[in-house]
Amino acid sequence: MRVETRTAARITRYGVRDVARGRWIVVYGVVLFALAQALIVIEGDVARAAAGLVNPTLLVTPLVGLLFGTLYFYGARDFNRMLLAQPVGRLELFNGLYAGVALPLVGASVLGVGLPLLMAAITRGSSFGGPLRLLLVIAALTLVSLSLAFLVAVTIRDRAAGMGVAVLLWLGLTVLYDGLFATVAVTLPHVLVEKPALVATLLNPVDTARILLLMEFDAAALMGYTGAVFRGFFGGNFGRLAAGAALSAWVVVPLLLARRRFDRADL
Amino acid sequence: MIEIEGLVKKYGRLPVLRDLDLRIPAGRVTALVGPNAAGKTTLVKAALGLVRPDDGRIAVDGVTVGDDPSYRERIGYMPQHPAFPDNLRVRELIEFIDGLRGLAPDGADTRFARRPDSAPLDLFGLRSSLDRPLGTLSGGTAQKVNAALAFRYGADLLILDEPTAGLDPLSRTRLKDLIRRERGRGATVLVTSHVLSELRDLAEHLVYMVDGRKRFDGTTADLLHTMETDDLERAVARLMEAGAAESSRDASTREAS
Repeated sequence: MRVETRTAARITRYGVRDVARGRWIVVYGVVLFALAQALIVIEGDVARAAAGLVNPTLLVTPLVGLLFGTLYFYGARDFNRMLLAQPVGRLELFNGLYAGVALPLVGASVLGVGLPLLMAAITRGSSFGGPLRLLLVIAALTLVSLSLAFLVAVTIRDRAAGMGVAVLLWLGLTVLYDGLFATVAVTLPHVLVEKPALVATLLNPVDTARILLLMEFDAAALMGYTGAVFRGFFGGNFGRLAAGAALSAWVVVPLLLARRRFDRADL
Repeated sequence: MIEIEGLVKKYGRLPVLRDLDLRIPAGRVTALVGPNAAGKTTLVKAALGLVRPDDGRIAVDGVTVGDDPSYRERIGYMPQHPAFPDNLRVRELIEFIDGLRGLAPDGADTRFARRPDSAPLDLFGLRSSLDRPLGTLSGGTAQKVNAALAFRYGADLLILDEPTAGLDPLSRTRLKDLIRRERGRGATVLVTSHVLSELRDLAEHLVYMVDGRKRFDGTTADLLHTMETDDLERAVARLMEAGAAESSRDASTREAS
């Protein structure tokens, strides 16, 4: 293994250990577990419980990712200086930190939601498709929000301002964007026809995730004509690929921007 | 040795280092002193590659500080404030840094022919704290961990930023013993400190900075001689007074013109 890779792997291992020992992450996993378990009991059906988990997880995972990611990066700032006084390159440190926080956070959310769903699917002999798709989307959204969190923390030096921006971003992605979308759709129905609506959905990772999951859980029927168009697109392989590419871009692009800034910044 | 040529650094529009030329001589203890905001910390950060200069060059043992971090294998750094992750234990931190420096946890070498030096751990009485989480350590104990790490790797260059802050008198004495030991080994030591009385019997060379420029660069003996005192603190105070008088003269000249 190259020295750089080995160094990044060491930093990742340290990050995982540091994060996994924090109380925060355990509480997060347990809350998700309890929520999933409660829905299974209430709904009495794995697929319906998974569908019921869509909205809460689409709200919670980006919020936790953004807050946890920015807090973690600001908290690590002084120790980062100490690490960079060792023979450690900035990019190795950055990569190691991201992986070190992403692995436990993805682990906590996927295990928290996934364990009860998969256990119930096994004992009741129901399909794994829905729960697995949900877990994949949760993992992707966690990575997206961590990338955005790192970009915010690298760009804005002031911790309070950075946290404020992180919350605003979350609000924008989960609430404001949809509000704007709905307003345009109602006031200018001829503008937000199918294709622009499809594009607008791909531009917001939370919406992309939502549509992917709604398709899976057959809720598109509730969405009328637009639902049919969306089903035609996101139900097909091309649409799934486009959605996957859009979510990947939301992970990679902010992360690369943050990396570049971190490489050039005064620390 | 650290060589600095025409180093310029601005934070936004605020100049912090102004065309600084400086040589920190090899194999000696150099004290870097100056009032707050003189640029000492920025200079130290530039040597570590933490701050990107706007202009000029800084080289450590002939290697220009840039993107290649390998030159830092030769540096031991003790930051002013220890900042460790709360959830790690002291032992894990040490193993982690050993690993980053290419040393296996048991001290067996994987990259170069050096073994970590555990003597500073004993010297600061840290053996009993090895299994404690870093978040539970007092400020002073954390600073001792900081020191033990800086002196652990047989560094050719030690950069110590206010190293005695927060240490009790016994640990301060031990730290000074360590500095002497490293100096005896031929290491270059750069210390920034406000407690000048502590540097009196350590520092052979002194750099006094104000406003991102050096105002004095020479041996401590020279400084004491020039300032006609045998008290280092008083000598530096006189330098500061002279500097203050000069800047107020500059200001009044500007006002008059």
